[in-house]
Amino acid sequence: MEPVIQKKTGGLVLLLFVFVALIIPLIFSTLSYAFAGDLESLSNIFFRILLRSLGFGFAQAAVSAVLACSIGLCVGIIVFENGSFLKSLLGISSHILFVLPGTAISLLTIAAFKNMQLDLPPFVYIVAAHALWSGLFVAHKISSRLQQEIESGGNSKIALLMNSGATTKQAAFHILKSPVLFELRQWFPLILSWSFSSFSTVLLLGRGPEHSTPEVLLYFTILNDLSPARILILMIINFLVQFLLFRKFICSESTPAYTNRSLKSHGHLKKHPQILSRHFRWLAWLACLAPLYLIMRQFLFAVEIPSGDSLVLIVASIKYSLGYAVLTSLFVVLISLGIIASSTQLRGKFILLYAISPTLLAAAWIKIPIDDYLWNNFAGSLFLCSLLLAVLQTPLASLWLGQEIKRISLAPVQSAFSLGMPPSKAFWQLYVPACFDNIKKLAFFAFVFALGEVALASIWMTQWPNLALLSRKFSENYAFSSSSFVFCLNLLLALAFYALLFESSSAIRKLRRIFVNS
Amino acid sequence: MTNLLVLTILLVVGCSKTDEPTTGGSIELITYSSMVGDNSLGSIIVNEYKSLCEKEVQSDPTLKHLRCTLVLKPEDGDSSLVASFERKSWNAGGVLGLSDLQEKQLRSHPKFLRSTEFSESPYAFIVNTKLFPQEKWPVSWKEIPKAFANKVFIQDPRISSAGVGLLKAIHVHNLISSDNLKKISKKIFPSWSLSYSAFKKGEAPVVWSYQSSEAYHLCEENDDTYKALPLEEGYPVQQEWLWLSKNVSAKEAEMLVNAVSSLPVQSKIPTTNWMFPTNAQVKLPECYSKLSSLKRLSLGLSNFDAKTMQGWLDQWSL
Repeated sequence: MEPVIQKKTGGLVLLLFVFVALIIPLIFSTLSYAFAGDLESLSNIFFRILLRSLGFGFAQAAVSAVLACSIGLCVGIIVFENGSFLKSLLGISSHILFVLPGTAISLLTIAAFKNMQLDLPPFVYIVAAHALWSGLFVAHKISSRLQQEIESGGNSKIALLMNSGATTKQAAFHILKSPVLFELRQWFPLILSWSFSSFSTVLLLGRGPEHSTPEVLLYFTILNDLSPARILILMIINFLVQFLLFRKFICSESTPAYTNRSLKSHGHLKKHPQILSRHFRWLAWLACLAPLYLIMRQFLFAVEIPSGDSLVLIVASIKYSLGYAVLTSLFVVLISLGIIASSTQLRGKFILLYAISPTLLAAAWIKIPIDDYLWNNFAGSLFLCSLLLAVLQTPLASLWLGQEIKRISLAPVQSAFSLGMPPSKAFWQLYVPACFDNIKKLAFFAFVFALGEVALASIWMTQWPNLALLSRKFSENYAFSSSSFVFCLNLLLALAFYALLFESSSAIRKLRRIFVNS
Repeated sequence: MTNLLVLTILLVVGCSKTDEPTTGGSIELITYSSMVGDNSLGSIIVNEYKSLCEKEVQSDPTLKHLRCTLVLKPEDGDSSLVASFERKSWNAGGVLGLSDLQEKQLRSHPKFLRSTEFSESPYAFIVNTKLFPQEKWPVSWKEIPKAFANKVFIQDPRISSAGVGLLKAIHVHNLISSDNLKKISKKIFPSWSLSYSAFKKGEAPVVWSYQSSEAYHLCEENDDTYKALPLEEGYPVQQEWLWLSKNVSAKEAEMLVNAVSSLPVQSKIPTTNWMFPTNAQVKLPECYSKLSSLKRLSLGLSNFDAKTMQGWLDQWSL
């Protein structure tokens, strides 16, 4: 059963945030660009540039996705086979990278390869950055999925097959193949989509126009502003590609029940089954974890506390970063709750707006004539950038939060209804408090995503750079030590926010206990 | 919930209102960040404009509507982002520091009033003599691709006015081909300042910059490690322009032009903006006499518009 819905409030939220921030600027800018009438700028040479950027975008995205899945598969299985310590380590690493995507990974790759004195083509750097970021994430998902499979009866199934004469490896392969393939099928298109639309990585690691994806090409076209028709074409291409890729992702099936629980009675294995052969395991270790270790080591050695002007910039940037992240986090929570409170039909269509990228939205907003009022001061830019970033995040955020709300027990709600509680009160007083932990999680992820955001900030907040933008500038300037310091600072801010959200109440309780005892 | 939303919006919009308005009591000029701040050329222009304007108002009481306050607002990085300049400068008074090619692009634009050149310098390859000894230096542009293969930091002409100088070298003066330019580039930077900063860290032996960069090292740091490379054919010249939008009155525009062309402002250009002044009466500082002798190429452009620029940038992007 759907949660109680307050359509009026949900509709208002949609109108205020989504339509005003997203739909109206997109329609308005599309019409403005279309009616500008400079069709002669759509020359052959432009289409050649566009085709090349599409080719480069897909090539790097495909190689990144294949490599990320390969790394994810190898590392995921190794971690699954080797117990909980590695699993925790992988969980932490993948989430650290998820916290600060793009710039951090680019920086890490440059710092590592530069210190190793490797002068490789930009394509390799870009693919390495994407594969590193997504690969660990896939590895974490695969190892968790395998663990889940084993715990929910897979172990018994393997034991049963072994009783029928199969070796451990054969049995484990047979049972665990389907969930692993399912995970890979689910993650491949998403990584393809992420890598294709990756902005800061390509901008930072690419060397010149020949290493542009359509997203980066759109960014440069916005800055030159020479041809509205070109901006329009690039906006449409970017949207269509992302839309198709994302449809592929969201149309994936939900997790099937692979495990036949009736097999449980046939006993189970005491240890995790070993899927990889010994030689292959060592090879996988060397191929995946060794480069990761070397990169992290090089990176950590590069960290130095900056001084002088750099430090002044960093201190100012902390303020901008925090403002951007806190406001975005607030907006994401408000809009997501608003979306959930709106009609289900509208919510289903809203999810497809995930196909809109930050650069595309920036291109749309350029046409909105409110420059001097909002864009030319810190508060105005901060408000709009946070709002736009929040609107871009809400499709996935509201989908996830909506699913969590559906899991809430309905008994208290039905009791409340029988006592005459109006639906709006039930939503805000029963559902929202019941999923408060999930709302905090949502706020945290929105916060850390905004901490690492570069695309919108590099277009609209150049005078007030956040830490991610500053990190990019430092690394473009070959100031890797400062850049690494900013990365660590960003990480600390994320951890501090996490502690504030999830640990503050327990810390207060502990303090109170200490106080009472003393 | 609704109240909370309305309150949030009112709070943030309220905050935005507390900032200084872009129009009203002052004229805003968009320029690059090094032009803004204490002891910068910008502060000298601001003072000069104020004194000229106040004198004018005193001598002619009917001109009381004049805005005698000038505010310089920094554009991040280089001054070459024509799009963002255009967008912001409609509401401001104009742009200070546009390159000559951008000036030509905007010449026919209905929203701009007039322009004036205020500084210039030849572009030049600046060489770190410790990393690339003088004996190995090429003497003409023809030798550049071989001698500087994968050694030069250059700037992206799509977003940097220094990079636009490279387009001029390719398309106006035929000094180098696009392919050869790609061969010599070690890295393409989004702005001159980033490229020069990386060059000074010793990450590359050569950077595409201005002759006045050599002057900075000689005059300010007393360091002759960084030298401009003399080439037989010479170098294109970068001119910097002040552009005023129709947002300012004709009288204000005239005073702004007078302020940036005045002797007090022009005489500070060599040691604050590190360019050559356009006012011929200015005597250059002593250290400028030690600069490498570079042949200057004339601008050589007659029919130039936005389409030509777009064609060049397309060629670059291909």
